[in-house]
Amino acid sequence: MAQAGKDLALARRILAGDARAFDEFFDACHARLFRFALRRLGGDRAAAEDVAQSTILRAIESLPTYRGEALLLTWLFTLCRREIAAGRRASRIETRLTRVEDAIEVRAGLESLGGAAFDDAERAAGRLERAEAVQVALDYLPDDYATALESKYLRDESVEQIAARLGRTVKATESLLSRARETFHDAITQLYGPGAAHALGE
Amino acid sequence: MKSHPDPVEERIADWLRSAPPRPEPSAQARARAQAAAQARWRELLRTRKAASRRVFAGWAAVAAAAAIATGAWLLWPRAVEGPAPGVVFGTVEHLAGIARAAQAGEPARMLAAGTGLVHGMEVMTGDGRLAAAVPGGLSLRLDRYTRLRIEGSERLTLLEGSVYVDTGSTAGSRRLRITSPAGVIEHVGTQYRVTVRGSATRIAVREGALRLERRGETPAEPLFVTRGRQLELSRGRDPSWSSLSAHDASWAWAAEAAAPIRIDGRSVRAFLDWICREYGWRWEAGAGFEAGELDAILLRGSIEGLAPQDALALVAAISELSIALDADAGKITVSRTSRDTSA
Repeated sequence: MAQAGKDLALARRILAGDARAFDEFFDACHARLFRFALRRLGGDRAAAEDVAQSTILRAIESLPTYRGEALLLTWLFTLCRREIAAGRRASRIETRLTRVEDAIEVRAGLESLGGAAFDDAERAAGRLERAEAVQVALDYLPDDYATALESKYLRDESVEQIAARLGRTVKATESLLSRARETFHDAITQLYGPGAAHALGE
Repeated sequence: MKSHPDPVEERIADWLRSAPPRPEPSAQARARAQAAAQARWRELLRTRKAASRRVFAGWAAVAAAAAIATGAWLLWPRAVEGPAPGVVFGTVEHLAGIARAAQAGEPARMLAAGTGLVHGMEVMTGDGRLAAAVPGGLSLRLDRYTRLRIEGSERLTLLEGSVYVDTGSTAGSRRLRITSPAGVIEHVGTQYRVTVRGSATRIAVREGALRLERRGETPAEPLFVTRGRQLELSRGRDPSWSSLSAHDASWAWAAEAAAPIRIDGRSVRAFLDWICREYGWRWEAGAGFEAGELDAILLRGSIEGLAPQDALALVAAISELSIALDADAGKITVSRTSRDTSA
């Protein structure tokens, strides 16, 4: 099933009162929303935690209107942007900076991981540090892809250990890692546009 | 033959290794968000269930009343679920610090003493404390960093933090149901406190009793918490019971949040009754002294801003009485001063 279909099914299970679906939803989105907000709030952890919470509450209220037309994560990020904007209006803080990942072209690309690319690579690369780009890209990946990549490359876990962590066979995990690397590559390409090949040293 | 590593994979690995682990929210923030989200989700489920019942009932009525004019059906009054906007739940009586409130779709605004708290409003105390007077003699206090939603005239949802409820000394006539992650709490004439920290709910009863309808329990037998008992509930754990005296220090914030009593023109007895209710103390007349005499001694001045011990000292000075507090025992003894006794 495509991700959008899975997301819609998850939303319907939540609305049907399935506690496991609710936990799955919360586990998948809370930390991502926190990081999404953190990057937009100048690293203010407390504010980012508040925004992540208020976004989830808003999402639950709006869940009956979710039709699966966008990925659940995309929809949540849209709500999160609104929460941040509302907070800024409330505190009368205006910001004219647009994050690279918020540029409409990049958003479209990241959200589809295969669509349009940002066309000002140098500016993009200059404004988005490499380490941050990695974190942004990981947050846009499906959760098991990000977990597998972090386990392998940040924690140096073996494929067997990752397989145990994800509850998969070794072969399925190798296949998952391969797809995860490809998707990560695509995500970096979306963030860096035509300059991605250079950025990736290709 | 050993295979050569894929250069693209190596570069991707370099990228991934160059980044620190992704930042994570604190465990406390996560637990807080999870509890709030669960409360909101359960509320959504209830609302949808009620709406679906209404739809069903509506269709049944249509079928049964097919012969009746459609216009008459349209004019038939139907129950309204959820908070009724604009209906006043209570009034802010006292504020120590800053508190805000927001209604759906509107920005939060600062609260002030005298502001009405209306249905559908979410009240947030930040680093302030708030006391609200609710019709029927009920006093509601919110500790710092508390978020509470007013669902209706008898229903609140505690999203996080701590609330204290005093139904008044005259009897618990006002019904109030507080929804927490652990379930729905309903008092039976009491002073009590509900605290939500993450997925844990702690309920302490100072006086009277209350009933908790637990969530997700089968069979759904309510738990009763009585005076001097404290119950802590966390998901996946057995209920934890403990004892808590009425004058335990953990109650103090509720008294600090309260509007101070105006003593000017009131009797010493009224003051003693008030301070004992707020701090969980009891008072008694010392040897050779009639409690009834305290009705006749009227006070002048103000105790606003004074700590309870200082307020007692001031009242003692004004009334020329000896008022001794045994803090460990939570007991005040009132007697004549030694000067009066010797006279």
